[in-house]
Amino acid sequence: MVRVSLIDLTKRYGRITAVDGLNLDIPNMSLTVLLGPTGAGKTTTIKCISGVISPDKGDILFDGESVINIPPWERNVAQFFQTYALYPHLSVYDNIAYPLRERGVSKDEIDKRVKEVARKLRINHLLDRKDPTTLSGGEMQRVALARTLVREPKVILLDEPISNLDAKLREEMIYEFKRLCRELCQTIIYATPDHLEALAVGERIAVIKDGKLHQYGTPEEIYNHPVSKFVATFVGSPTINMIEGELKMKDGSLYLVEGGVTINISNIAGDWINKLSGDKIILAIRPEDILILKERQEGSLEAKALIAEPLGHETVVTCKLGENELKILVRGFFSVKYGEHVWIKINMSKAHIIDPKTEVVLI
Amino acid sequence: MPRYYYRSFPILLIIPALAVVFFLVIFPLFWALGLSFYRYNVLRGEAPVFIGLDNYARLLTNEVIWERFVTTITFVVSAVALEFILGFALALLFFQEFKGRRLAITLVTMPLLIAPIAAGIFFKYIYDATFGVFTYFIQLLTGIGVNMLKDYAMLSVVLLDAWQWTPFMMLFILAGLEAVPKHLLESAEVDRLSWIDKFRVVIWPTIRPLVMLALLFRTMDAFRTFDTVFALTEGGPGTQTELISITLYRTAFKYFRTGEACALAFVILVIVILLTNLYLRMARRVGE
Amino acid sequence: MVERSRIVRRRSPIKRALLYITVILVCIVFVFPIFWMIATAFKTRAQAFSWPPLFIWEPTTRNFIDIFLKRQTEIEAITGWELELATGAEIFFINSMIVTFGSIVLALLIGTLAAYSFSRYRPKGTDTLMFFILSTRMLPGIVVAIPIYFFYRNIGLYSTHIGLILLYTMFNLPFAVWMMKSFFDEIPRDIEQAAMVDGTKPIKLFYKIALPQVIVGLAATVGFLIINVWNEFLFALLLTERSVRTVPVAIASTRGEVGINWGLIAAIETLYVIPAIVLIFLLQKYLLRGMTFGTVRGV
Repeated sequence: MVRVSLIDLTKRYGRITAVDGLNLDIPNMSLTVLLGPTGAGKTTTIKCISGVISPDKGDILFDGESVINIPPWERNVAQFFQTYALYPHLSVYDNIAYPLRERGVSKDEIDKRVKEVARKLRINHLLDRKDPTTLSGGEMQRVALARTLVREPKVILLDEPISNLDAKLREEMIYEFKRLCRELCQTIIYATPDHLEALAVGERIAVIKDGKLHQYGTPEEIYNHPVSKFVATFVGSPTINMIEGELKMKDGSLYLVEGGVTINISNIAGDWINKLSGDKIILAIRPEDILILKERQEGSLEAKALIAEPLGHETVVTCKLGENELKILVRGFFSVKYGEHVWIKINMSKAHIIDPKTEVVLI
Repeated sequence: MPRYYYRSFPILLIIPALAVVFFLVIFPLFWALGLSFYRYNVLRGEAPVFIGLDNYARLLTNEVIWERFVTTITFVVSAVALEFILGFALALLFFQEFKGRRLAITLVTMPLLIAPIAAGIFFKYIYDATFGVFTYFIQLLTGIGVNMLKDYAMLSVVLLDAWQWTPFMMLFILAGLEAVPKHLLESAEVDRLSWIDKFRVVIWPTIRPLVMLALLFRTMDAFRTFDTVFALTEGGPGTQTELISITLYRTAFKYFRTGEACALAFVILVIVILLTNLYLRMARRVGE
Repeated sequence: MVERSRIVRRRSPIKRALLYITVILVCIVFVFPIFWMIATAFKTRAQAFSWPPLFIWEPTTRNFIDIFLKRQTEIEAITGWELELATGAEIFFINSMIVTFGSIVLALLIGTLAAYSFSRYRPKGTDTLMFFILSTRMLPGIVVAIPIYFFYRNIGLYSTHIGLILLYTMFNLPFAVWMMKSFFDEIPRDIEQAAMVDGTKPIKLFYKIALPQVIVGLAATVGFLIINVWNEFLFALLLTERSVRTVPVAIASTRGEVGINWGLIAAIETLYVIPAIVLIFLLQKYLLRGMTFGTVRGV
């Protein structure tokens, strides 16, 4: 229930910079997701917030007060570790009860809370197990989760908490996290490399790569208005289509020229042309924003269809436009013959232009 | 671990250990170093006289001392070589799977549990020319009556050392062999590699560190051997098996030529350090 | 868990027989002297001196009784021991046990603390210090024996239990520190971090979280240390007399006389080796593991 601010957070390990000048302001009672590939620095950031790692530079504030000199056992945060980090010499019950015992909670209260959390996570039948290392991966994960959630800390830190759970339990846990945030006014910081999970869970998402923050916004902002090439490609399944080519001016119209394909992009011409650092641009368009037609229409481009992969409610069709392979999302079932000629129409209002050198999204 | 939380805590944890090391090793070492520059004989009751490097000079030019070194090195080389070869053979033997393997290993490592001094004393009985059971067996097999402790003193000592320490080598090498990843061995089998190649490519790289370590430990220990030889032959007959450690003991605690003894002790120390360094350097080269 | 490799092959019966014969021969070679020692313990002086050596004889337990029952002067006559107290040899055994036990406990106490610090906190100079502590083992004992002899006499630690315990603690320390450190190294960092977040202070981290996980390591270390110290001779010889004397020194105090009662000596040696055998037998599994972990990683 506190506001967490990361100011210029930097942490180096030898020659590798895990976190590089990270600035993040997480409002209280919010559910923020740290999204990024493995090695992006999510775990390091989380460990800095909980205090088990001390950063080389920068500051961490809880509600405006610096906590950087406060040791972890006084910071009153709860953390779920990616490796579970269960205490192997304690029983399951003792594992979950541990943080409460360390804080001197009464025996009855402990019993009540442990049993309640265990019930929610469906591990109450495991409470008596003496050796947590004999549990299955999913069970261990739930015990670790229970240990994290049994308290009422200032901040709850979750480092890939549902990776090993089955689909149904994942759904339930996502609901539970949201509820904790809403009803119990918890501040939750959640790390995951799975963008679908991030979109489902987070009220706000911070996209991180190589220790740097790329974008911090709502799921809608991240998805529809990515700020960098990385954010655009990392979020979205199937991955966003990218067509790289040269910008050419002809007869007052703007074209993207690439390997035999010419795309008229006059509709989206604008100020951004002046901000370009070179002649090349990348046109990025999401698979669902391309129409595939069996006959020629105005403003459409000719392409060759390759494969269609039905998903049930949608079909992913792979097409070849010149040298580029595009993935197009079509509603319902759609079959193609290999090499069949089709026409595709790009919805320019949803297209993005990316500068290949700076990797910044211009529109 | 974050550093700024507990400045003194880690240091506090180490202090008792460092204190023990300091008082029982460093301090005596320097005292001994100091003493080595003096002429001092406790029995004579005189005050120590500073004579600088005299003790060292006398030691290093003393033929007898060099003889002792040669004796010691002969012993070390023979014993360690024997133990290595036998130990390796035994390790290979026990690497196989067979019934009673565990028991056999336990039996073979029993010599390690006998106090070296006790072994020395008792082997005196075993080697005895008149009543010894070893003499008896030799006579049974070859018809010759030998007096081990008189005619083959060095051999007796080396054999005793080998008896006690071969199991040590065997254990190390066996542990190394067992650490060889099974799938590598299997793929070598599939690839039909010959025994030599299998050894060179798969086995040796894994066991090399342990083998080197075992050799290092054993060599250093062999150099310091005192108990067994002292008990078995007391350096005799005459001075045939007088190791440098025995010489040192006598100089210090029989003749009480303390200053000289300290000098000799340091000479031995320097040699051991040099040997170890030489050894480690060689070991690194073998690895490449 | 690394899968252990071993050679299991179908062998021809001839090869099998050969293998077993070799194994038996090897076992005999290494065990026979010990067996002979135990056998001799059950012989009278006359029987021990017979030629050819007796493989079948009428055993006697006289020696074992003599060790403990024969009092001062009688034992002196037989073995040449100088005994001030009117006791049998049990005093030597008791001394050995006191000294071994004391030094192991002390070494583990001090060594484990230091090992924990080296492992988790890595203070500046950890590597140097660790190597330095290990290198003390390379010292020929005699180098330190001379000054310590004088040192102890001056301080009044000569021929005291505490004096020898302290010294043996020093012997045990390198092993204890190195082995315990490697066991602490194996504890995943995350577990301690989790405990920290859960509210555990550093000292508690040590005894509540770290220590319980290295109990196995402690067992292995204890085994090693016992072997290290139980049979020590030189320093015990130099630094003890009479009432503080340990068994190895007592065994060696027999003069090289002609009329040695080998039976009695064998009896003492037999009794002395039994605790060692029992202990090693119990700690077998841990020892092998401890040896490879301590060394492969450490050096």
